[in-house]
Amino acid sequence: MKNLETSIKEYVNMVWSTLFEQSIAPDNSQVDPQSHLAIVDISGQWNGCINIYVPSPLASSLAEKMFFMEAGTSSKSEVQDAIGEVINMVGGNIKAILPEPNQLSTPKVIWDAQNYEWPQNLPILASATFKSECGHPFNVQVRQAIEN
Amino acid sequence: MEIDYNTEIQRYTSDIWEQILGLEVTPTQESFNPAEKGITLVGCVQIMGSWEGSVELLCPAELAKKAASIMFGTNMNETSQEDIKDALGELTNMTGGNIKSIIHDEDQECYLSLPAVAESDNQMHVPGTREVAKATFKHEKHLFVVRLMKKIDKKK
Repeated sequence: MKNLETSIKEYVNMVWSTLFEQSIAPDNSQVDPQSHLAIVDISGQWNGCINIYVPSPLASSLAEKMFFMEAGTSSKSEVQDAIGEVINMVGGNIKAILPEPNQLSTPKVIWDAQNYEWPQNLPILASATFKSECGHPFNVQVRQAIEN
Repeated sequence: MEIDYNTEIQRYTSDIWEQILGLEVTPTQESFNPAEKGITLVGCVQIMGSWEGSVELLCPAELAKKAASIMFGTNMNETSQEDIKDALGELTNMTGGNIKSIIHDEDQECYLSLPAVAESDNQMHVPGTREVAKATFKHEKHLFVVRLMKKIDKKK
């Protein structure tokens, strides 16, 4: 398996350039705790999840770009759909380099990521933070389930 | 054969709560409004494979705490937030596991994700799915809901 962090960077860059026609750069800043969280689960030969923390203003601007909307007009549901689609694409690419057979779930979105507690048996395996064109850092993680 | 999801959810949920927790829960026509019931927790497991969707358990925090104290044999006052979320996750996992067993194809297996638990229905949402079944249950003064969401097939 290729270095997972390198793969995350490659796939997130690809998704951003194809979906939003925007460039992003690796970053070490802290992601705003007032973020939304989108998750896809992977089950099968490899078990865990891929998730993304997206600050609220960035999530809104991504939804507006994705659905060809005016700035400041996206609804909560459109933001949920947009970041769900982003993690679905990133997760779909990462899934392909994990041990097979495995299955990707539909995305779930947690609106208030700050109050979400991860189960202890789902630690971070790899993580990469990026800065968007509008200056907001966002973070993508791969978490692997620990067998009880 | 057409599956009656509501009947199956009612059967599995009643069995799980009675066998695991010793609590009698009965299906009800009363409607559960999370906004009126204080803190509500939602447990979610994803089903993937030949059938894609999720199973969600919406439960008042007070009832989840009672379930956790029984499941882990602790006093209600000593039951931690982590225990409460673990218990609700486990109940969601058992419910999802039973539902998965009736919907998977013989040719292609379905898989269940790990459970996720968040506070309030408003916080967790599965975009691109629609509700295919929902059952409300009552235990003493508490109502809780189990619902089955299916991925919308965009090709149709």
